[in-house]
Amino acid sequence: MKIPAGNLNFALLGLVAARSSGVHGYQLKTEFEALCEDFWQLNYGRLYRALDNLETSGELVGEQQVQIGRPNRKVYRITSKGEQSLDDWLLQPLSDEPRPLRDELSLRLLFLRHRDPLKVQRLVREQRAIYMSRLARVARRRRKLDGIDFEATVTRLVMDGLEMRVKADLSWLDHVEHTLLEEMAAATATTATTIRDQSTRRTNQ
Amino acid sequence: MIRFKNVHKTFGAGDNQVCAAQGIDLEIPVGQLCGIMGPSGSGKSTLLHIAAGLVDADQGSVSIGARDVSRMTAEELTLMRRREVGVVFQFFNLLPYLDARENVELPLLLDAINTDERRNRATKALEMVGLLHRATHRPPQMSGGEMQRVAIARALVISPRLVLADEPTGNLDSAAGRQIISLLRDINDSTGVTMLVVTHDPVWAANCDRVVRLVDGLVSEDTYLKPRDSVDSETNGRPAVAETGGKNGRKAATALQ
Repeated sequence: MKIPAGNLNFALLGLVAARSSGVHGYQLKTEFEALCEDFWQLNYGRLYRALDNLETSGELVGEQQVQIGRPNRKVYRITSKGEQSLDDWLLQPLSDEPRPLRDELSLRLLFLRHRDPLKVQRLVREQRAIYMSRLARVARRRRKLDGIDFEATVTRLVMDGLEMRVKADLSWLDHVEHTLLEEMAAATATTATTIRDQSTRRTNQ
Repeated sequence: MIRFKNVHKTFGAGDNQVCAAQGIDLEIPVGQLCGIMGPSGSGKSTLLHIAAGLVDADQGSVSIGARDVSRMTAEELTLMRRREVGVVFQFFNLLPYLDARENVELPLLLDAINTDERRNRATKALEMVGLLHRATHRPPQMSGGEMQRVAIARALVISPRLVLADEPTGNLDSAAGRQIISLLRDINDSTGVTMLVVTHDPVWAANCDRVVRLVDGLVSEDTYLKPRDSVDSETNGRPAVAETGGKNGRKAATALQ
């Protein structure tokens, strides 16, 4: 998902701020992926560009750490200017609009002509597999997060939120499947009764 | 590996007849953690009970490894359950007057294992579920989550080749349920024991390697949820779904591309 670069910078500031002794790029990437995987895909190129920008703007300070037998690495710490930016961002009103139900399935349902039970079932099954794999991603992230010491309660709440939304989607899917298949079964039964009645009338005549 | 081949099971007769299995075909390879989901009455628990040899199939076969469970004598079945299959139930099924260690030792006692070895193996099993410090407590002194851990230790104490669990989190609050989920996931990762778990909870099912959905006694969906790095390249990292037909018996295996 594409998120404005500004938010990415604040997420990095937030992660660095949680490490008073400083944090290096590799650790930041690992923690970032566990915490924010649903928002951003972050490669090293983008991470280091963002860290360079934050250093240039004076919100982070980077210090080369000499390592014996291994390449040196840069350890980042937040500055008071960085902390101020982070606080300002946290207090801003949220810009995110509530997201409409925009799964492709909803759109296809609206225009589903000649409701064929097999087609409906196929659509529902494919969508259910997608939701289940989303839940599986959350489950894997929870396991990753167990190994990371960062705001356990809050990260758990974020994961709970993701799970609750997908569970709601899954319940909706059960509801769609049940309602449409019942409706189609009822329509088939009515047609069968009509044909039987017509046939009986013809026989009686 | 556990394999169900064209398994049929009907309960009751006449108007009260319920078809719990109408030709289930399913193969679970060694080491897989497989979740079984589906609406109430879809045949989930029946499938598990047939695998455990607690219920006989009317038709079809069930094999664990190379052995056909459906052809075993009652005595062979009892031995298999005691030595090879660990079962975890929703309501724990612990004996209230025995302490945790004694409950865990029970399957070994029935198999006439000597006291020292029983004690040793029960201690290891309790350690595995993180409950060694409660070894001398009885079930009424424990929380639901702790009782389920003891039940899991009891299932593991025989070093089973298969663990069957019927709604293992169904009677627990969400925090305790979550702990049981990670415990079963960790045990599967560390021991490689094959697990078949019935659940109605998608969050728990999402921790499995694979989720099979039953509807009206048939496999209706079969979804693989392995991590991206071990997903078959042919499915391109998306969930693979093998579909089988509904009541009309049509079968079409497909993978989402």
